[in-house]
Amino acid sequence: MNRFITLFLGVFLAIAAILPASAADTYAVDTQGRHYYAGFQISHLGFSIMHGRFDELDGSIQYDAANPSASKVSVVIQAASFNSNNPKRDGHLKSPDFFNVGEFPEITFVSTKVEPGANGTAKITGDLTMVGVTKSITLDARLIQVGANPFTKAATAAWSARGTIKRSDFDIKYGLPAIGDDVTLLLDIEALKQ
Amino acid sequence: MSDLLIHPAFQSAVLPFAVALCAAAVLGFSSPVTARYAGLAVVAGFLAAYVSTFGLPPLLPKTSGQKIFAIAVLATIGSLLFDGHRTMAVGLHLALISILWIGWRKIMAAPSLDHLSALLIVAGAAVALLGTERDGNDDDVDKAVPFLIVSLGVAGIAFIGASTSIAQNAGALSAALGGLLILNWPKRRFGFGLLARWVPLIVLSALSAQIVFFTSAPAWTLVLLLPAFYVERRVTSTSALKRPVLIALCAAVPTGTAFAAAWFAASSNLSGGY
Repeated sequence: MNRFITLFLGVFLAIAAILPASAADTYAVDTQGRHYYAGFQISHLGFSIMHGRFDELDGSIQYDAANPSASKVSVVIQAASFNSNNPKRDGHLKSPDFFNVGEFPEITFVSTKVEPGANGTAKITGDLTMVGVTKSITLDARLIQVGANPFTKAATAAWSARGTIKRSDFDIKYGLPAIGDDVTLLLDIEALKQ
Repeated sequence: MSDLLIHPAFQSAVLPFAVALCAAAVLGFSSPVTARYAGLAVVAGFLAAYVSTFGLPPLLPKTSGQKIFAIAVLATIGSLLFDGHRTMAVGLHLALISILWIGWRKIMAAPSLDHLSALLIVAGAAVALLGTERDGNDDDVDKAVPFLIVSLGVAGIAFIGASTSIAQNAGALSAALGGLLILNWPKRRFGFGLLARWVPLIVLSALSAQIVFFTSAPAWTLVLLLPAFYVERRVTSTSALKRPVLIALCAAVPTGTAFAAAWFAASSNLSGGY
């Protein structure tokens, strides 16, 4: 019997040794707890900074702690969930003038390259697709924390990302230049290990 | 000055009117041959307004808004090709293609109310076409008057549906028609051919499809615009001074009704003034 167990362990260890180490952990955006924020800031007629957000999104992150450059991010935002705390303005921004949600219901971001920096920061380059136009953009991201949720004990990780785009690059040109062209993107995500 | 150039009233009213007026004057007064194509002035005014508002669209348009530019150009080519050959079926097919091109994402998604909507817009285009084409007089300038008024109605309904860009396009079409018509009033100077009717018909069909598929406007109110295309034959006056005015006034009744219905139907969800 002992000989059998020794043989089994030997085979197991041999197989484990030749297989690559588990590369990345997969995290899914905490949609149930809605621990996320996807929003933007844009100049309103040169006066105030208008803030808008999308209330519905989903996505996943393949996080490789040992080799962060191998990590991947994918986010899908429901454009119709746009909310700027003004129903009239929301209706206009959902119309073909801007996000055109009837024609293009989803906004997606899929990373293509992750360049790790110091202290948990990284530059995440990826394809942002909005109103039918796909452009490569780069977000400045920061890993906030990885660990067990103190209440649920679920393995959790959180990131924050910021970036700037020109809306005209996505053919959203209505109201230019009165309504600004530069748009600051804000993405904060808490995700649960799968 | 730059503030003026980006003002919606300039982009969708003053500019298309002025461009159409100048283009119509050049085409209309140069020679009898060019006068036949004075309807091109409508296209020139409309496209100038489009470019001023949105810039040039990509060669392969992706959004319904970008397709409007291409549809106006293609409708112009179709009208030029079939000018002199009265084929209502061709005009209707062009309208059908433009409607399907605008709304195919919604139409293909699943069998739904959108299919019925598409059919209704096509039927509306057919009704408008029958109303303006039936008597065979291609050069009757008065036939363009209902399009001028109905375009304003479409603009109003689009605005209520929270899309200023569609409203501006429809307004620009109306203004461009105005630039051409004003040179024929009170004296009729040159005919329009198919251009001044088919291009507005096809562009209005496409704009209506945008409203129905992609805005929150009460789309059923567009149906109330259709009687405007039939008032022209009911106006018995032959006076070059009075007849276009009477047609415009009569067409304004169903147009005003449609706008009022849209206003009351969406009064809690109006987009303006935020």
